Amino acid sequence: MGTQALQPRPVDIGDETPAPALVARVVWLEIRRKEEYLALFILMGLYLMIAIGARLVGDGRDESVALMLNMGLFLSSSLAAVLTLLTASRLIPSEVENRTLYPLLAKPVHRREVILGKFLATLTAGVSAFALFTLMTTLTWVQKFPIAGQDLFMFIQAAILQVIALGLLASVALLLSLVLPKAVTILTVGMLYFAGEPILNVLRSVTRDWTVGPAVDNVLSLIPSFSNLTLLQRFTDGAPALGFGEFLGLCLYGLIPMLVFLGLASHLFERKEI
Amino acid sequence: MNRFSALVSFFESLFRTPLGIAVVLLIYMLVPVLGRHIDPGDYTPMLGYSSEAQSSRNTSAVARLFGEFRTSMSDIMFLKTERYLHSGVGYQPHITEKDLTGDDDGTVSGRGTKTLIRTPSDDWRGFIGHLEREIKPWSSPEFHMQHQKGVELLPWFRLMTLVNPHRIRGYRIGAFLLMSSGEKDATVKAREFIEEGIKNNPKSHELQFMMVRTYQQEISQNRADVEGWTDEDEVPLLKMALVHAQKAIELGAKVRPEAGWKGKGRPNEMEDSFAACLHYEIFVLRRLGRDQEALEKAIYSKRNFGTDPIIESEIQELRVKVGEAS
Repeated sequence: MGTQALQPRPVDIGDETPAPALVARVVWLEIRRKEEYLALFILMGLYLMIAIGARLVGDGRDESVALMLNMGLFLSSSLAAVLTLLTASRLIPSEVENRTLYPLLAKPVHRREVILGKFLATLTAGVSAFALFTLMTTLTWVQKFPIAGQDLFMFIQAAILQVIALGLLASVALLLSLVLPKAVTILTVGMLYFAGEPILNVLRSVTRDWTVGPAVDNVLSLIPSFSNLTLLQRFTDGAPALGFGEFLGLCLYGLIPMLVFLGLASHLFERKEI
Repeated sequence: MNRFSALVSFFESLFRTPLGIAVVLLIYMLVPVLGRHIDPGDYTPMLGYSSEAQSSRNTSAVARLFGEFRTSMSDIMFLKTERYLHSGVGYQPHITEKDLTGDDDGTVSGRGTKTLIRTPSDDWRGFIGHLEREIKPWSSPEFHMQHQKGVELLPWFRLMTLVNPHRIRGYRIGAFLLMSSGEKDATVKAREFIEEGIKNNPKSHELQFMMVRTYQQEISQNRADVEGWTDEDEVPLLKMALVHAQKAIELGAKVRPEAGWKGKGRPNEMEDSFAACLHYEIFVLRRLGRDQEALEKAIYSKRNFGTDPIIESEIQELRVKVGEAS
């Protein structure tokens, strides 16, 4: 008898809210209860206090504002990524450890809907934190936003790509959390997000002259590079907006692996013995 | 949400059959294709990279405080090169190619560059400042700062460019150090290093300029070292230098602001490289005996990129020479 046959069949319970949304709602409640996430808000708050202080003492030179804006946006995206990573990596392993997954699976939901719900909750939490922190940063420097030379269209593109990056991060973390211990998942995906590009570059350069160099390069290029999707520095550096083709290409660069990893995570979760 | 759910469901269903897995792999193959053809990190920053912008920023206490956090791994390595060069004493950043060439005794000396840890007369911290000077590497900026030749820094530049292949300054200074290392195959190694830089930054005119410099260095070295070296022997090297100078002009002209790159530091380096290539193109053409072409190029440069005393004198000399010849 296959695992598929063991799955409870969805029944109409009269509630029109889709099952993934219900799962997501539960995850959201859990996120709100975790005190450690407050630390991220405190960190962002510290930055804002200093930034507002700088504004009050009248430090409004373009160079200073560009740097502070860069710091604020870097913190916004990094803290949102940390929140997404921690949430996505711990959701399923914690539920298995605490045995709270069983009552959830006893309900008329598909396992893939559980994965999807958890993904959506993680993504919306990360995107909300990113949107909130970015809003606070830009409001702090609203009179100078954007500085002459910075392209507002580039900012919009960077924000959209950052959301995709968070989605990709959530999907990779969810997938690896099904096969690796929590801590290993957090370390692996965290390293991939924050230092993936330099590490891949070093590996590429080191193996370039080897016989297997081209093969290694091809394998490494299958690992999505988050630095292609985190482009807020490109905005603060005053670089021009991306062309439509480039932007679309980068969206696909993030969305394709995200969907593939989510599909694979759903598939593994369907077959996982719990 | 239902559509997204259906999409995920579709991908999930693909993993159930070998054919489905093949389809997923095919779709996934788009990732490396897109990754190889789009590089959003390859751009020239337009804000805050000149020395003036840095100076302005450094007078802001808050910006200075936060600036420490902004450094990337590659930036940290660049800072490390300086700290290493000065035996651990932290000076305000000032690295240039000229600084790194060294004196005849193998050391470089500089006077007056401020240390990051303040001098006793300038330090309001009293005992704390004294303690910091005692336990951390420090020497008074009034004396010569002594350090070894920059060639010892090469591993840092190697690592810096491995971490960030778009760090053009790392390639430039690293190649310069290689070139001036005094090793037998110094120019070959420098050229290999720049070639790697060009592969990673095909739009950089500065790296093309560095290639021109390697050929110039090779010619100078051969003149001094190779017995019986003639002008004829230089022709292949001159032709290669010309190719790179012209490539640099072509690349630089596409991105150069109308009035040129303005400001100290990086903008100055970019402008200097571009102007030097304009000059090299004319010099090399003259050395190859193509005076008419050199004159046309000089006039073209003056019209399109502005003039300077070198171009002016070249035009004058070439007019006389070409006139005499005709």
